[in-house]
Amino acid sequence: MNAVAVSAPARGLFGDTGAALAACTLRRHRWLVGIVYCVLLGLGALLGAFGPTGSESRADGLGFFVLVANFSIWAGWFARLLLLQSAASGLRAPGAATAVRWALLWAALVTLVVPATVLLSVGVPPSVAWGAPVLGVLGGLLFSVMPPPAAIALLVLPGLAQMFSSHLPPMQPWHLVAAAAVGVMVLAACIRTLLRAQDPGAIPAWRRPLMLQAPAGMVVWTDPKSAAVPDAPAIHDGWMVAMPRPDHAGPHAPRAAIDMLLAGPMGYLGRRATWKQWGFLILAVAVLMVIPFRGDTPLIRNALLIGVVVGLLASGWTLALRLERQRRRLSGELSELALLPGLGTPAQAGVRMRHSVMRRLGQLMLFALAGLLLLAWMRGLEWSQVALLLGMLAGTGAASLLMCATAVSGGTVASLRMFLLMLPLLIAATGTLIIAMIRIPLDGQGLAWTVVWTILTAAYGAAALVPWRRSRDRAHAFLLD
Amino acid sequence: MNAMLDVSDSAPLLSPPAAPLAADGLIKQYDHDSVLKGVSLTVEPGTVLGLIGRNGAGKSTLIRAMLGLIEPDAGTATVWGEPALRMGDAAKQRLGYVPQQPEAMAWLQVGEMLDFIGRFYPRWNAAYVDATLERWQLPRNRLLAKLSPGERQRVAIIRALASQPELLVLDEPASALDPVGRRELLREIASRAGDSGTTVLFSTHIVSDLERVASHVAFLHAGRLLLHSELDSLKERNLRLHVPEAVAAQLRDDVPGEVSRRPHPYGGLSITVLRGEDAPWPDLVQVPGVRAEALPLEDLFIEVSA
Repeated sequence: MNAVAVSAPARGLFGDTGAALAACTLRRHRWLVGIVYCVLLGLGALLGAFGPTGSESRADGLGFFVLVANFSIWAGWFARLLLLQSAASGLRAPGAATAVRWALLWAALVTLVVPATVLLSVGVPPSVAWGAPVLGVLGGLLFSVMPPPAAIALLVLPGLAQMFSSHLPPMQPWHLVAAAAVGVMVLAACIRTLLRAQDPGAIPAWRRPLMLQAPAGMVVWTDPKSAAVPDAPAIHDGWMVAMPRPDHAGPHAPRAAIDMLLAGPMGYLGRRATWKQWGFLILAVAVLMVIPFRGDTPLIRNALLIGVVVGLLASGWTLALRLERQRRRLSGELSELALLPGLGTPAQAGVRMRHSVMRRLGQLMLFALAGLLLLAWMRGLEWSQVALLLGMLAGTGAASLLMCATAVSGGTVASLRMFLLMLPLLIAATGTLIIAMIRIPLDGQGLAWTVVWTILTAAYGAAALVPWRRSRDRAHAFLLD
Repeated sequence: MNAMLDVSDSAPLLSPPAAPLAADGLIKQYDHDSVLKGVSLTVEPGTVLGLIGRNGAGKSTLIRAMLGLIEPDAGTATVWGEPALRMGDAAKQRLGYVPQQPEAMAWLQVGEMLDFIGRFYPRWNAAYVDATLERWQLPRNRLLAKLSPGERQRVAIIRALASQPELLVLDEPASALDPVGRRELLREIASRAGDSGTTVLFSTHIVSDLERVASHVAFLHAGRLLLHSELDSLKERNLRLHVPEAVAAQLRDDVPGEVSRRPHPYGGLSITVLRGEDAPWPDLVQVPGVRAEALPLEDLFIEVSA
């Protein structure tokens, strides 16, 4: 089961409650979520310290940071206590179930009472001081336990409400109460489904909680060392996901065989699956073109741009992380590839594997290029700003190449070292994004940005050569860790 | 006690053809933890070698290193004389491998996966696949992901055997099988070895499985190979000696062939000895008051690995 993929925790300072909080996720994941939580609260504290006192916007801003912080920690960590509760019920372990309930209560108290008290002490009205943390907790829980389409709808709901605010009647208190009641009912139904499931991982894809969608749960994205589980249980019944079929793969088509076995973003797709994916893509583009987003909805346009940039940054990372995780699946596809005859000599198979990686990376970058150009056209960006976005694409492509080369050479992608290496890219990409969103004229900064992206692209490209050469020196391309 | 016991079969007189599977001084560490500590092991043609050891002894790591799936920190592994890490197609076609928990290609249907894999093996026996799938009631159109662990293991066994391998490597093949399945698998291994001369290496911690089919046995403990011997010979060459207190007090050195020594619950010592192929029993056996009993394999395994 991918619910609780962690080792037995030691009883710490908080006894069983602390053990339950630790057991529901991995240490690295806890740290990551905890850091995000602290950063958000820290930003809120900065606003509280330096923002204009007594203003309504200051109170709303403080409430917003607390809401987002609570949302992040509940969605990323505490909601996983429900998986532990489900496992404890399945194992008929009442002690564990009690510990989980205490852990939930403790988490709720800490994330509700402490922020609310602080907000009240700095003069935030009680409705915001209590409402924001409560909304954050409920929203985080709801986001984790709902199926992905509903969870995404939850995220875009505030934007949609703002977009259609001119067409909607003024918001009354009873509207909020009704919305909260609906949210609580949906939450109760989702939790009930989760707790009653014998194996939460076996819940059909269309109503499987978001926190179980990624293979082995989202936890593995922060810890590739955890055992990577096969993709199939999570996605074989996903109607939008096309998994590769072996119809045309074989010793006569060794590269297709390698792609077929590596699957996922590396996957070799049959004609039908390819048409299906292109169909969805064209449909998405058509929807974007038809609905009247171009003129009067900056929120959605910015969200789309942010989405494309984040997708661009994440695509290479995802591919590299997947390649790394394959090395840790001891009885998975890599060991199959290592012993399968007909793929050529070890050197030939290595070349084919690297070509596969390059091709997939190239495809991902082409998709990103198409998305960026489309959005640039929709937003009516200047040529200089478009050139800046293309510079970012080149830099990200080179950085993705570095990550993928690291993965195929046996190195670690999910590491602090790699994060530090990617930090300049993230900073430069954030700057580029802000320029494109706010449409800051590039007058005197064009040259500086050209230099930045040229240096970054060249540096990442050159750095990628080292692991790339190391991957060629490996005994064979399909070595396990 | 942990030193390798020199009880292997007599050395061949002529330089033999390359062994199907051989390891020499394999060392492997994970996070500064030694999993293999210089393991050397040769699987002779036509033998059925049972690799036995406690959980975490390093059996799976040894098998992966011998097949070239992982790169050892030191030492070499060869398959029919070729370096395992650079195995060619010819060697791969003659090799069948069943991993401990097969999980590859879970998004494919049973029949789809077997048809795909079959394209890579010139001697693929499609009739055997069909007959065995039917006998084991495994529907061709069932997704691998939807199978139970035992069924997945059966499919992996079919996948390995259908290529008619000359070398069959199975990593705890019976761990997820029910007693009927286990019995069938063992029968299949025995018949392959007997009829076709297939060389088999299989790891297990179930001693009864090993006794049923293995011709040779190797004990792996904490990353070291403690013993490698022919099975029948091994049963005849071990004794547990119950040494009374008076005699035990006079023992100054290790008894020749001593494997383990511990206090006997009723006083004195309990000493397990394993003599070499042609070596005599130690003199202690003849001492009045010393009682000797031959150990079943399971007890010997416990004594060796304790």
